[in-house]
Amino acid sequence: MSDDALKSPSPAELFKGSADLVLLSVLAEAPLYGYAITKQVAAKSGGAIRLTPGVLYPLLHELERDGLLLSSWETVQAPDNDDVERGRKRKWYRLSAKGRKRLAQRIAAHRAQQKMIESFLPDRA
Amino acid sequence: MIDGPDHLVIDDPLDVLATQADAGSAIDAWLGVFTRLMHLPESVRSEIRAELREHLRERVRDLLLSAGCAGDERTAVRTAIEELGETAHLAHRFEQANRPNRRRLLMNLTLAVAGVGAIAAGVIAFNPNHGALPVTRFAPVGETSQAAAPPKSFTQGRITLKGDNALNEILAQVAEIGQLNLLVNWRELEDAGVTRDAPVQVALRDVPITQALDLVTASVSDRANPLDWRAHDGLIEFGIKHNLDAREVELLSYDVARTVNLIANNFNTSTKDAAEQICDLLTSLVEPINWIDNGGDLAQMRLVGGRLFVQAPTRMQTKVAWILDQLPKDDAPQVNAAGGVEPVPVLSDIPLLSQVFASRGDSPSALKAMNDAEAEFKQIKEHFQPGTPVYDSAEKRCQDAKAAYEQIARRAAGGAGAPSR
Repeated sequence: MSDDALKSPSPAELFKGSADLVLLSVLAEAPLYGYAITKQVAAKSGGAIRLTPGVLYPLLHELERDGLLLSSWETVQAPDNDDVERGRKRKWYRLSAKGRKRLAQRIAAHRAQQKMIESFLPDRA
Repeated sequence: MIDGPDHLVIDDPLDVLATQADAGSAIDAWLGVFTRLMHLPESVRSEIRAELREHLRERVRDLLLSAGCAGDERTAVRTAIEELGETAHLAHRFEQANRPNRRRLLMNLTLAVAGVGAIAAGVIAFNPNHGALPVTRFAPVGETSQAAAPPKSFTQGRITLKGDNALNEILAQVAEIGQLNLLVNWRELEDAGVTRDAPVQVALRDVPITQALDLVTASVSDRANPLDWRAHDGLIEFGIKHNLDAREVELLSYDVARTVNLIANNFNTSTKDAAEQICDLLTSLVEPINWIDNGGDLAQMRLVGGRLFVQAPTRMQTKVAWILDQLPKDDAPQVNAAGGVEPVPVLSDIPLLSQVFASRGDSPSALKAMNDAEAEFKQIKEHFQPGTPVYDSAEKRCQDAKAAYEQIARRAAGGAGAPSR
C-alpha cells in the first residue's frame, strides 16, 4: 500500500460533492454576494474550506438557473466616496422557496448518509 | 495575444495584464479577453463580467492589505485572477452553468429519438400528401401566396470548400453559386457566440450546396443555440434555428372527432382519455422539446369539440398530420390497393367457425355472430346505397346470421321458436 493511501483526506477532498449543500446552507442564513460567501464559508470552517471563485460563481449561476436561488443587483458605493462609483455593481443571491425545499432534502440525505456510514464504524478504531 | 478586433488568438490571457497601468484597467483587460471566450448571449456575458469585476476589485483590495502582496498592485491583480482558475476552463464552466438544464432536454430527446426510430421502422411509408384527414389552415387576411421554391442553381448547384474559410465567406460563396440573396442577422448570431469570421473546418469537393450547408451549419452550431438555414423567395437565410422555426409557426385544425370516438369505443375508454392519448402521442413523438406542455416554447395544441388545433412550425405540422393519418378514422370498409372495397369479415365468413357454431348448437356464439353482422350492416348502410355490392353482401350476411341464430335457438328450445333478445 502506498503512503498516499494512508493519508487522511483533506477538508477540500471531504468537501467535494457538498459544495451546493454548503452554499445553500450559508444563503439560508442571509442573502450574500459572491465574495462575501467565500469569506463566510472560510470563517465558518475555520479556514478549512476555501470555496474558490472558479467553483463558486459557476455554481451560483447553476443554482440560479435551476430556480434554487434568486438574485438582485446592487449599485456599490465606495466607502471613501459618497458618489456612486460608476459601473460598480454587486450581485446578491438569496434562497428561493424551491431552494429551501432542496436544502431540506439535501440535509436529510446528508444525515441519512452519515447515519449509514456510522453503522459500519467500529466503536474503537 | 489579441489579433484585431474580431479575431482572437490567445497564448496566455494573463499576458494582457503586463501592459496595463493600474489594477482597474488590468482587471478590465483580462475580463475583456475572458468574456470573449464564453459562447453566451451578450447580456449574460455582461452580467458575468460585472460580477467578476466586483469580485476581483474586492479581492485585490484584500490582497494589497495582506502580507503576501505587501502593496504590490500588479502581484495582487495576478494572484486574484489566478485564483479564478484556468481562464478557458472557467469560461467553459460559466457556459455550462448558464445553459438550459440538460436533464429534461435529454429525456425529451430520448423520446424524440425513439419516436423517429419507430417512424423509420414503420411498415407504411411516409407520404406527406397521403391521407384524407380533413385539415383547415388559418390564413390571415391578405395572405394568399405561398413561398417560392429556390431555383435550380441552388437545389442542383454544387460547391467545393477548402476547409479553412470563415463562415461569412462560405455563406457568400453559397449565395453566389445558388444565385440567391443572402440574409444573415449577424447581431443575433454574435449574441449566440457565432461571429462572422468563425472558422469552418469543413473540406468538401464538388458536393450539393444543400449538403454543404447542412455540414457547415452543424460545424458552427452550438448545442444550446442550434443554427439552421432556409432557402425561399430568392433568399437564403442563415440564423438561429429556434428563431427561424418561430417565424414558420402556423395554426392548423384537424378533424379528429371520429378517431376519438373510435378509440373510445374500441378500447373501452372515455372520449376524454382517448383525446389525451392522441395529445400524448403527438407531444412525445413530434419534436418533444418544442411543445409548451413539455417546457418548450414553439408549439402547442388544444382539442375542442372533436377538432385538434395545432400551432407549430410547418415541419412539425407535417409530422402531426402523418401520425393522425395513421390512426383509425372510421369503421368503414377498407379500400384495397385496386380501389375496390374489402368486405369486413365476420365470423360466419370463416367456414371452420361456422361449422363449430352449427355443430355445438352454441346459441350465445350464434347470437354474437348475428349481433356483429347487424352492427356491420348498420355501419355499411351509412356509407353505401341499397343495390351496391357491398350493401347487398352485408345485408345477406346479416340475414344469414339471423337465420342461423334462429335455427340454433329453435333447436335448443325444441323447436319452440326464437328466444327473445
